[in-house]
Amino acid sequence: MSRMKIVDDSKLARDGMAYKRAPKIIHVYNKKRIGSIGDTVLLAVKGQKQKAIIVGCKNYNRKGGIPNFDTNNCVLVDDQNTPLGSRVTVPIPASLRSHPNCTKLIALATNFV
Amino acid sequence: MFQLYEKIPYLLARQPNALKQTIQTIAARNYTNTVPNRILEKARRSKLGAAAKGPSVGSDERPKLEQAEYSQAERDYKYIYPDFLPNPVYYFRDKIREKLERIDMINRRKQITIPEFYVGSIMAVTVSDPYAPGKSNRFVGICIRRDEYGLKHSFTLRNVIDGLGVEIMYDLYNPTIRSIEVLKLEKRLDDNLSYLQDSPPEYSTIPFDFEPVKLLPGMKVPVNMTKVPLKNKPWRHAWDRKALRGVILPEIKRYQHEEYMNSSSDFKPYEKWDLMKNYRETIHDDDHREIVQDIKKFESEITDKQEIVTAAKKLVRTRHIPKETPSNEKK
Repeated sequence: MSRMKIVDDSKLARDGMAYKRAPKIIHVYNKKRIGSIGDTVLLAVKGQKQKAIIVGCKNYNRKGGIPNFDTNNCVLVDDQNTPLGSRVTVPIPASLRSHPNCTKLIALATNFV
Repeated sequence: MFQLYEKIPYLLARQPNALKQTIQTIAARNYTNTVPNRILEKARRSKLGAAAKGPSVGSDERPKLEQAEYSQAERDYKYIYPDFLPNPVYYFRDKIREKLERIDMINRRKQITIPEFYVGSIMAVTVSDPYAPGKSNRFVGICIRRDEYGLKHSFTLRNVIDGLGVEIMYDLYNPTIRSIEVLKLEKRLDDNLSYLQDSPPEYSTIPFDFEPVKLLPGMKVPVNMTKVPLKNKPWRHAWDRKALRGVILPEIKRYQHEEYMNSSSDFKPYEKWDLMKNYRETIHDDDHREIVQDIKKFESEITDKQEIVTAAKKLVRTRHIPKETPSNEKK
């Protein structure tokens, strides 16, 4: 149940971040059940369920060259992995360029690290 | 330990030696920092080490010093090339592995120039990335920490981009790294600047078009004396329990602070007078001498190579290319 920061300009993202309860991860679509960069998750946002893609993690990665951020970031997506918003407000890791989930998401990003 | 108690009657009956071994291994696990003298001496007198001929602590006969005295310049190599130092814990040491790793590191250093840098200096790293538009990715930031020994040595850069703190760890000997530049050579008051995570963002923002600052030749590396104010709690780690010099802590009531300091386990101001601990956590000069020899040989090779390259460039510049004479017209 880790709390996330939605880095998106969709209406649900703005309302969800201003809501009294922070958005939390309910489920990770992954055999390991531990989310990392590029994984799809199920979020609880503003009393409703919504899919999202993790776009940055706090945890220290031993693998060289992969960034870790000060906050846990995610972007809201559809069932077909199409993002709800039209812009990503923070830099996202360059390793997501080759990720199969994130092809539609990368078109919205402005900054890669 | 708990599992061992269950096994004791069985082991006593059948394998008394195995019991002794398990107890020894568990004892070694608890006191990894203390080494029995016989193991220390065995490592020191081994034929692989250069220290076999030199003086060693606890030896009966003291052989005369044949080598020159260990100069200050040689001692500085510990700070210029910290990646060449082996792990000071004797249980993790292996002289053959260290030698092989050193050869690999020097071979890599012949391919790209890895400059001298410290924690606190501002750096830029370009990594080859097959999916990026220019096939390469550049990142600029402050060096926060340097970890690990030998080939595994790594450093971490930090920057704030679009109001979000980003940290990237790079392995120093990663073959995908194209270049490492030092934009501003500097030291800070601490060896680990991880507390920048909990400080205001202006202390770790660096523009990507930062212009390199040059130092005059023969100058000492300057120390940046800035003290960083920390935000209020919650923090990523308990920074007030660590003896940090470059930090301004938010105001706490005095009695609270003293209670906190007394209860803490990390804050040990008396440790700097613990000679034995200091000895075990640093590499002995006799051990370091062998490493210095390798580095000096490498540096001399590099300077020779550079001279050849510069001489070749001069030749190209000064070579007179004669104009084509219209020989056919004369005829």
